[in-house]
Amino acid sequence: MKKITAVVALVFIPARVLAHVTGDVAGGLASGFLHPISGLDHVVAMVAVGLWGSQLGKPAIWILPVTFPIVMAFGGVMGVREIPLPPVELGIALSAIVLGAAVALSVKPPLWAAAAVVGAFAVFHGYAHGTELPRAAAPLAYGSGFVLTTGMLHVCGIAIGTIHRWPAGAKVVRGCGVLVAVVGVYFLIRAIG
Amino acid sequence: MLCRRSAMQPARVRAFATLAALAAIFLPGTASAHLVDARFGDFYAGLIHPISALEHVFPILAVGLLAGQQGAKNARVVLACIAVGLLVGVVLGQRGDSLSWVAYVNGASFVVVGGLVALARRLPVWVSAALAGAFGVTHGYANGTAMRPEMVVLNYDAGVVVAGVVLVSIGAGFVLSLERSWTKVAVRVVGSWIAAIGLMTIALM
Repeated sequence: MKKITAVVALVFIPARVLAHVTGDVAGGLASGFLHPISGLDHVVAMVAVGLWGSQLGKPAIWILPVTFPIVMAFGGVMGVREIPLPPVELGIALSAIVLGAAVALSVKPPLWAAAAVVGAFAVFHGYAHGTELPRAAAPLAYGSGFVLTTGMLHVCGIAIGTIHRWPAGAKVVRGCGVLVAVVGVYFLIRAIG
Repeated sequence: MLCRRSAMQPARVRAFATLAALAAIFLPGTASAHLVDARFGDFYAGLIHPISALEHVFPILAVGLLAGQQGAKNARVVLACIAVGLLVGVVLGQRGDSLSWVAYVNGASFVVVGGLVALARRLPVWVSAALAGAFGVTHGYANGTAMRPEMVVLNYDAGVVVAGVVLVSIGAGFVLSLERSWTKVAVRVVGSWIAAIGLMTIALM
């Protein structure tokens, strides 16, 4: 395992081996990677998706990460095209509140309901990234960056969520849900006020 | 007395080997100037372009992942088709002009192949082979139009084909070596990421 980690780390050292490096592709990739983690509201909501998936168990735990990026991409397309949507910041803050509450209360709706809720919020998150896409230095690199980072955040949430099989771990996961919801409330107030 | 050598499981050896190969590809600093002058640099140019341009590396890697999901026998057919497709494409691309619809098809290749990886369906071998061949041609074409006139044609073409073969081999080999169910789900998730990136890209075209 250590060897694999070392090799993976080595792969990411040279950021310059990119064709058409006009200084832009690497920059676009970097700014894409950073965009989802530049807002705490994004971060906690994405981690909450992974946490909730862990609580819901199979098949949600894999259906959500497999479908989320594509639904998010639709939101991104809407953002690129600037199709009107209710205020995005509100949507993202709400996503943190709702998903955080779902994890905190360990809500277990039918799969279609969970997927619908997560999907709706995925559109908002994708929209937020998509509005930045046309202005990015290298749009494909930017798009790749934020899709990969978002996916990694889900993985983080699922990884943290693996502890929920133990009673104490389950409480910790629910506590994380509370934290997510609190962050969401903060951003909601900030968005409204 | 003989010491017992600690043995890694074959699956982990394969995973480690493919990751080491990936690291070897991405580690080099500069290509040697003298080789470039001797025009062997054209092979490097052909090799590096598909694997360092995001619009090529993701879909070709996705073809590798899809091939792996189809099982070893079908994966070999797909590997052969991507090699032939890339060769045909790059030869055509060198002679022809840069066509705008090729870029759209290459964008679509993200969505189609990534989506199929996400679905993880067993496809009839001719379907995956045809996809590999067709997208090999279009990606090869795009690489062909990127060639500069002073380059040696044979070297560049060989580089492009080798790059594609390496990417598909690594992708397929890695997927074939996976045993645990969560790792197979992870491959599906990566396919979904590639499809999502493609959707964004097409939206901008």
